Amino acid sequence: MGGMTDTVDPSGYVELHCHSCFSLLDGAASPEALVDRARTLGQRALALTDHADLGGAVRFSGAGRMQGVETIIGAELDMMVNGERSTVDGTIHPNPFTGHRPPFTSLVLLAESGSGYANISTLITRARMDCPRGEPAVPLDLLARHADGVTALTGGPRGWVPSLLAAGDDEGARRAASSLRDIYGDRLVIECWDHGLPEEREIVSRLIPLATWLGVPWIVTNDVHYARPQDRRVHDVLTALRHKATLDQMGTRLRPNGEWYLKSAAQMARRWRHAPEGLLATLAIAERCAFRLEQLQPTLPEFSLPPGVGEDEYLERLAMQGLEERLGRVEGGRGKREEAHHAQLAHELAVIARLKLAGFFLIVWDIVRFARRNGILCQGRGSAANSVVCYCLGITAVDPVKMNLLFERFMSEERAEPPDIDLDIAHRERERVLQYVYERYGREHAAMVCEQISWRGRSAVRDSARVLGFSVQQAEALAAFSDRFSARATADALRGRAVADAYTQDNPECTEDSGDTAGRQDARKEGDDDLAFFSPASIRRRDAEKRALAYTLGQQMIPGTEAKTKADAVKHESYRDPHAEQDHVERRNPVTSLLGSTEATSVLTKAGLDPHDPRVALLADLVEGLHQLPRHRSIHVGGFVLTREPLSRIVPIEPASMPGRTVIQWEKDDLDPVGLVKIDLLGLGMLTLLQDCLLYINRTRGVSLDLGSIPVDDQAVYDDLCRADTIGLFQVESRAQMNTLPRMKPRAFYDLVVEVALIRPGPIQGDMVHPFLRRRAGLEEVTYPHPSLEPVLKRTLGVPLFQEQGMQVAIAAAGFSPGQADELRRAMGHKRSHERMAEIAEQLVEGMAKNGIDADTARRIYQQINAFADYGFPESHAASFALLVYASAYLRHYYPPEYTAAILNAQPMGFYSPGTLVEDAKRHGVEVRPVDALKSGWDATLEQGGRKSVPAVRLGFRSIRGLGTAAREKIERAINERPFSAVADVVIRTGLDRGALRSLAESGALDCLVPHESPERRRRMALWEVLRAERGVAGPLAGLPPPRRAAFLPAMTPYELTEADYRMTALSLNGHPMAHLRKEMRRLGVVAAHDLLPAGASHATRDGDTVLVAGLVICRQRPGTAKGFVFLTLEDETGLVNVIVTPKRFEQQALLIARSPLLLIRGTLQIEGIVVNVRGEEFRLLNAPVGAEHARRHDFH
Amino acid sequence: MSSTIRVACVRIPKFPIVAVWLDGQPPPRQSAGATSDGRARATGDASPLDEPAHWDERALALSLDERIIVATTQAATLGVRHGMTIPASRAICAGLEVRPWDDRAVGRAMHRVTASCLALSPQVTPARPGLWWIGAHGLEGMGGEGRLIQSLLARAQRWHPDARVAVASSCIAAYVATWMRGTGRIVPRGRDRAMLARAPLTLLPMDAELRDTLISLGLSTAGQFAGLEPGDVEQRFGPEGLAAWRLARGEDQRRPTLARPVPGDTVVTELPTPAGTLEPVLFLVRAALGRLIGQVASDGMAVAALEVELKLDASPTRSASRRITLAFPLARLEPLFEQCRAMLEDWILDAPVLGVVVRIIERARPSGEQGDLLHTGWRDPAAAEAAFARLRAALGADAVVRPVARDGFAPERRGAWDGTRVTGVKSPATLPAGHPAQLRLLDPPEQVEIAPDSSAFTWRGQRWPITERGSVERLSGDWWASPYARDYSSWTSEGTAFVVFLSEGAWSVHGWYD
Repeated sequence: MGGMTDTVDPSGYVELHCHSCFSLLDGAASPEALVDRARTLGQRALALTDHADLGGAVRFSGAGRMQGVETIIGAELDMMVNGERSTVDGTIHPNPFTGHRPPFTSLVLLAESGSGYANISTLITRARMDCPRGEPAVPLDLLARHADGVTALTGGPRGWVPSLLAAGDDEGARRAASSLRDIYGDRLVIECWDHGLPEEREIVSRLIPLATWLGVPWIVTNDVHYARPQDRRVHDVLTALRHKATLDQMGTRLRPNGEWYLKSAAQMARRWRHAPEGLLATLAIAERCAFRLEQLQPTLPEFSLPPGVGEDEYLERLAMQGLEERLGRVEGGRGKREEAHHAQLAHELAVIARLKLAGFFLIVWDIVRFARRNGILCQGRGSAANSVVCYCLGITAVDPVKMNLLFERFMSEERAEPPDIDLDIAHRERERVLQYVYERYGREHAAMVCEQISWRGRSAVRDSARVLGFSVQQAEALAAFSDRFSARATADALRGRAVADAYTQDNPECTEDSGDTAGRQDARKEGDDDLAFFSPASIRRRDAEKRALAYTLGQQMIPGTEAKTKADAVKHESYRDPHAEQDHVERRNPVTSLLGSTEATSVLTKAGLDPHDPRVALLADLVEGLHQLPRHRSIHVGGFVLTREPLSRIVPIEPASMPGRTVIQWEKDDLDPVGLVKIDLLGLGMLTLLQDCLLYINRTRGVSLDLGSIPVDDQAVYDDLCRADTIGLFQVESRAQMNTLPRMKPRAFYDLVVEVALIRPGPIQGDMVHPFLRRRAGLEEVTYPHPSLEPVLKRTLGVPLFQEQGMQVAIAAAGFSPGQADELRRAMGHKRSHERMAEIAEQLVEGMAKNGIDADTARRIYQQINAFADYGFPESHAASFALLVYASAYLRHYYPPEYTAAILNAQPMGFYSPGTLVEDAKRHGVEVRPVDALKSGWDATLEQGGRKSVPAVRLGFRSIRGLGTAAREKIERAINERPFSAVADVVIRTGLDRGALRSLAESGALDCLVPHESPERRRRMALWEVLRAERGVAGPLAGLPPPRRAAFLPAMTPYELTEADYRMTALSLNGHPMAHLRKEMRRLGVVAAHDLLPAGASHATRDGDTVLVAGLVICRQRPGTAKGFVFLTLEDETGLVNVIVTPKRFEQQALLIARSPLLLIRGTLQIEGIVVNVRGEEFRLLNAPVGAEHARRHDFH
Repeated sequence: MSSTIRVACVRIPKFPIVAVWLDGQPPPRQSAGATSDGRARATGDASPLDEPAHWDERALALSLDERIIVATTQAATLGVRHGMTIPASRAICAGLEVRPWDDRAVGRAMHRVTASCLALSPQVTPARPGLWWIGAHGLEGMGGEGRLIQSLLARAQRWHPDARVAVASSCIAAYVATWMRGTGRIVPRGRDRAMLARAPLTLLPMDAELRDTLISLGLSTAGQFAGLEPGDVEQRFGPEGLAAWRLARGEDQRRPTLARPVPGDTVVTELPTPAGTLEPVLFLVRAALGRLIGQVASDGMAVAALEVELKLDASPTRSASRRITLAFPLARLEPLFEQCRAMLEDWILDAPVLGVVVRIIERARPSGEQGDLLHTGWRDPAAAEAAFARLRAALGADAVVRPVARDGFAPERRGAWDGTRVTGVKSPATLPAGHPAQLRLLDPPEQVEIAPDSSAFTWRGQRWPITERGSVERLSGDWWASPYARDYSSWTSEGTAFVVFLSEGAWSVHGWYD
C-alpha cells in the first residue's frame, strides 16, 4: 500500500458528499472535526451536505477559514416524485443492502453561487415548512424552480436513479436521470461510491455507463457520516437512538461496516484504481462550487417612517422627545437637563448614523412601544443600558450618564457591528410580543434563532446506557452521578479520572510519560491512515498545548508574568479553538457532577452496575463520543432575526415545536459571522410577578404604583436585604446571595448593583468577593494599582468587578480610546484569540509606559484586566437587574400578601418551590388559605378579612398537581356559571376525569362541600362522594335505599393530612412535615432552624458547637466554583438551615445526601455575624411518612 | 356459604424458575435438608439444582421478550427486578443466568405438582404458576387437615423450602393464610372473615387503581373494606369492586375442581365457574390426559382414539363431544394434548363450559413407528412431537432445535437454532422445485491455507483449486457484544461455492452452498 500512497497527490480528491452532526442522529462528527480531518489529509476543499439542514454551515465555514480548507455548502434533500415520496414508478424499492424499504429518495445539492445557495436554503425551508415534522422533502417541480446556481449529485444508493437501478429498472433509471438532467443540465453529476459492498459495485457498474449515455460527469464520493474510522461506534449509537432501539435490536438497520468515514485521496485511489477519473472529476466540481458563506450580506427591514423623514432624523426626534420626558420627570423640570446628557446623546446618535443602524433602534423602539401600549412590562437588559439613546427611547430604565456607564461597551465604530439589545418582557405576555413582530415584518422576514440542544453529561449517559440495553433506572442512577455540563467530564469520571484532574493529566508536561510517547504509540496503533493525529489523547494534548501557548503569549507581552508552569497556564487560561468550544463551559463548571475523585468502579457500583460487565466498560467511550453533538433543535430563549430580503434565502427556516413559531437553523453564535442582527425578546417571570403584584395592590388597597414611582432609598427595605430576608426576591434569593448580603449590608441602590454583579462565577473564580467584602467592612485598606485608576475603581473600592471598569482602566492607564478598550475586552473575552490578544496587549503595554506606569505596576494592571475580562459582569446589566431587585424587595416588604399571590401565580420561576414560598410568607405574617372549590379561582387570589386587616392569600386550583390546561378550562367554565352546590355538582358540571376529581378531593379543595363532616374526615368523604357521582349509573344493589349512616371512613391523622397536602400540592397548610416530628426531634436534641439564629435563639448556640439539625431538603447545590463542596438547604417549620458538605464527606454518603428528602445531620456550627452555617459531618435519612418525598426541590440546577 | 367446604392453598415461591430449570429432569425429591423453618439445606439427595447451593440462592431469572419477569431471591438481592432488560440485569449482576420463559416447561411442572397433589385429594385446581387450591373437606378419615397440610408441604417443599400451605373455608382465606407466619396454617371453620380482617389489602386480588383508591379512603385492611355497605361499594367501584369486597369478606365462590376418576379410561372434571375462554378448558384437558396416559402407559398400552366431552352452561344443561382418532397409537402427553388443543381451537361453542370429560375410547399397543421426518408427505405434528421427544430422551434436552431467522449482516447472525419452543412441524408437502442452494455454515469457521499463487486453498488437508472468485464484501460490527471485522468472498472449487473471509490476515472457510 505504501507505494500507492506515496504517488497519490493528497489534494487529488475532494469529498463532495459529507454529513456532519447536523444531520441529526445520523452524522457523528462536528463540522470542525471534518474540516480538521480534511486538512490533515491534505484535501484542499470539502463539502458539507447535511440532510435538509444548513445548521452546521457557519461553523463549517469558520473552521475552513481557520484551517485553510475551502468549504462548499450544500445539502442532501429528500425528494418527492409525482407527489409521492417514492421512486418514479410509484413503488418503493427496498434498500439493496438491507432489504429495508427506504422511505424516500434523495438528491445532493451543492451551491455554486449566491443564487445557488439561496435556492438550496429556500428548498430546505419549503421542505421543512410544507412537510410533516421530521420528514422534510421537496417535489420535483420545486427543485426545477430553484435549480439556478446549483450542482446536483444523484445521491447515495437510495437516491432516485441508483435505487431504480438497484431494483433492476434500468429504463426507469434512465428516465429519472433524464428528468434531472432537464432540470440541472450539465450541472447534474452522477455519484458513485464503494464502501466494500458488492451491491454498491453492481449499481455503480451501471451508473457509469448511464453517465456516459447522459453526457454528464460522474464522480466518486464516500457519503461520509463521520470523520474517523473509530467514530463509527458513535454513528451506530446515533442510528440506534434514531430508531429508538437498543444496539442489540438494530440488526441490519445499522450499516454493514465502518467505511463511511472521511478517507484520504490515497485510500480512495486504491479503491478506485480501476477508474481514477471519478476522483479527478471531484476537483472540477469543487472548483465550480465557488460560493462561500461570507459572501452573504443580509440587511435589516426598512422601518416605516413618516413621510419626508429619514431614519436618523426620526430616531433623533424620538430620542430628544424621550430625553425631555425622562429628565423632566426625574429632575422635576426641563431646565435641569444636564449638558452631559445632551452631549452623550449627540455622540451616540452620530455613531449610530455613521454605522447606519438607526433603523435597528427604531425596530426595537417599536417593539417596546407595542408592549407598553398593551400594558406589558418590559425592560432592556444588558449592555443596552449603557446607551442614553436606549434610555431615551424607553428601551432601558437606567440613566447611563448618571451611572457613568460606558457607551462603547454597547457599541463602537471600531466594532462596526449592530449591538445586542436584550428586552426582558413579562413572561406570560411574551408570546403576544413575539406574534406582533411576526405580523409586523411578515413570516418571510422574521424568525426566531434556534438553539442546538447537545448531549451533556447526563443526557449522554442516559442515552448511551439505553442503547446498550441498560434499564431506565440504571441510566437514571448513572445520570445522577454525572456532570451536568460535560459529557467528556462524565466519561472521564466513568473511567475513574476526576474532572478537575483531567487537564493536568492531559498536559504532556505534567505527566512522567510524555504525551509524545503516547502519541507515537497511538500512531503505531492506527497504522496507515495516519489517524494518530485524531486519537483522543492526541487531540487533548494539542488542545492543552494551544492553551498553554496562548497564555504564554499573552504573558510575554508583560515582563515577569510568565506562567510558573504550563500546568498553571492550562488551569487559568483558555484558548478557544473550534474543538475547544465546550471547554469554556466545562471550565466554568469544572465539577458539577456528584463525583469527586472517585474510582470509576466506585461510581459504577454506586449506580448499581457491575464494572466487570463488558458493556459497562463501553459506556465511557460512548458518552465521550456523544460529547457536544447536537441532539435536537430547540428555540432560543428569545432571539429574533429580521431581514429585508426573504430570510429563507439567507438561512433555512423551519417550524418550531411550539405552534405559531418559526426558527432558523442557526444558533446565536452563528449570526455574527454572516451579519445577521438579533434582537433578544426574553421572557422574565419577575416582570410578570411585578406586573401582577402592582395590579393586586391596586385592586385590594386602591394604591396605584408603577416601577418608576417606587422610591429607591427606603431603609426598611434595605433592612430586609441586610438580614438576607430575601426568599422570593429577584436575583438575591440564592444561598450564596443570602450569605453575602449580611456582609455586604446594602444601604443604597448602587450597593445592589454591586451585589448583583458580585455573586457570579467570574468574581468568585477571580477571588474578588472576599477582598471586596473585607474592604467594604473596613477590614482591609482600599488601594489602587495606580493613582490614575482611582476614579475608575473607586466605586468598587479598588476591586474591579465590571467589564466596563476593565475598559475604563485601559482608557485611563494606557490611553486607549473607548473603541480600543472594547476591542481589548472582546479579545480577552468569550472568543479569545491569542493573535489578537498579543497584538492588543502590546498596545496596552506601550500605552501604560507612555503614561509613566512602571513595568511591575503594568503587569499587575494587566493581570487584573485579564483576570476578569472574560467573566466580569456588565455594570449596565447589573444596574438593570438591581432595579428589579429593589422593586421586588419593596413590594414584598410593604405588600406581602399581594407579592405572595403574584409569585405563586408566576410559577414556575425563581429558586424556591411554592411550598417554601408559602412557609416564608407565613413567617412574614401572611395568612394563606387552602384551595376551596367555593372560593378559589385557578390562580391564587386575595381575600379581604385576613389577620390585621390585610388581605389573605387564597390558593388557587393551579396549586393542585396533575391539573393541566384542559382541567383549567373546565373548572373555570363551571365556576363562572355558578358556585358549586355539592360534590356531585363538581363532578357533573366540570366533567373532569376521575384522576383530576380525585386530585381535587384529596387536596382538600372539596372539603367545603362536605361541611357536616369533621375536618379530618372531609377529604375522604369528598372522595367517597366523588367516586359515587363519577360512576353515574348505579348497579342493582345500589338501587336499595341508601344506608342511614354514612360509610365509616377513618379520619385522617395530622401526618396523613400533611402527606396528602404535599402529595397533591407540594405544600401544606396543615403543618410542616418537620412539625410532626418535632417532639421526637427534641428528644434527640435536634435544634430547630430558628434556634440556630443568634438573635432568636431559645437555646443559646455558639460558633463551633456540635449540633444536630434536621429538615426537608429544599435545595442541593454543587457549584462549579466550589471545588466539590455541596451546599444543602434544610427547611423546618421555623425556617431554613444552611449545611455545607465537604467533598470527602459527600463522597462517603453521596447517594444518601443526593437523594434523601428528609435528613438528620450532625455538624459543627459556623456563625459569622448573622450568617449561620452547619458543616455537616454525619448524615442520616429520616424516614417518616409525612410527604417529604413529594416536596419540590431545587437540586443541582 | 357451606361450612363443609374446606380448601387448602399451596403456594410455591418462584415456581416458574425451578419449573424451567428442572424441565426434562426427574421430578425433584423431597429435600432431606428441609428444616423446621422451611429452609432447605444442600443434602446428598437434593435435586441437581441444589448443588452447591439451593437454586433460589443462585442468580437465576426468566425472561420474556428480552425482559426479566421473575428472578430468584439471590438475583433480587443483587438488584435484578421484574421488567429489566437482560443487559440491564446483567450489568448489575454479571453472573446472572437467564432463560426464556417456557410455557410448556411451566405447564409440565404445574402438572407434576397437580398430579402429585391428586394423590391426596381428588380436587386440585392450579390457580396460577406456583399456586394451587385443593379440596380439603371430607378428609377426616385420612388424618384430617393437619395431616393434609403436612403431606402437601412435603410435596411443595421439594420445589422450594419456603413453600407454604394453609387450609381455610374459602380459597381467598386459604391463600391469605399462606402469607402468615409458619409454613402450614389452619384457619378454623367460621374464622375466615376474622382472619382476613387483619390482612392488608395488597393480598386481595384487585385492580391497582381500586387498591389505591381504597387506601386513599383510609382503608388499608381487608376488614376495613369488608365493613363497607355493599350498595356503597357497588355504587362507587362497580362489579369489580363488589367482587373484591366479597373476597374481603371471605365470600369466595371459587372452588377446587373435582377431578373424578370414573371406571374405565375416563376423567371427569368440573370448572368452578363457567368458562368463556379456552384456557381453563385446556388446562383441565391437559391434566386429564396426563392422568389417563399414566394409567394407559402403566398397562403397557397406548392411546389410539379418545373423546373430549364438554358440559355446557346452557338451559337446559347439555353436552357436546368430539372424537380424535390418532394416526399412530401414542403414550405421550404432548402430542395428544396438541391434537386436543387443535380440535378445541376449531370448536365453536354457543355456551360457556361447565366441565370436561376426557375419555379413552380405544387402546392399542404402542407403535414403533412415530413418523418419518424425512418423508415430505408426512404431516402429523403430534407424531412429530413424539419423535422429537424420543430424540430428546436419547440425545438430551437440547437435541431438537429449529431455525429462527434473525436480522444481522454476518452470516452466523442471520439465523440461529432455537431449542426452547420446538413443538410440532408444519412441513411443506414437497420442497419447491429448483430451490436455492442452502448455505451450510461451519461453527466455528475453519482457517485455510492459500497457495502462494492464490490458485488454490487447502482445507482439512485437501487441496481445493479456486476456479472462480466472487466480489469482496466487507462486514464488521457488533462491537458492543462480540466484535467482528471480515472481508467476505466466495470461491468456487470443484463445483462448490465456498463462503470464505479474510480476518486479521488469515483466510477462513465459513461455509458452503449445497
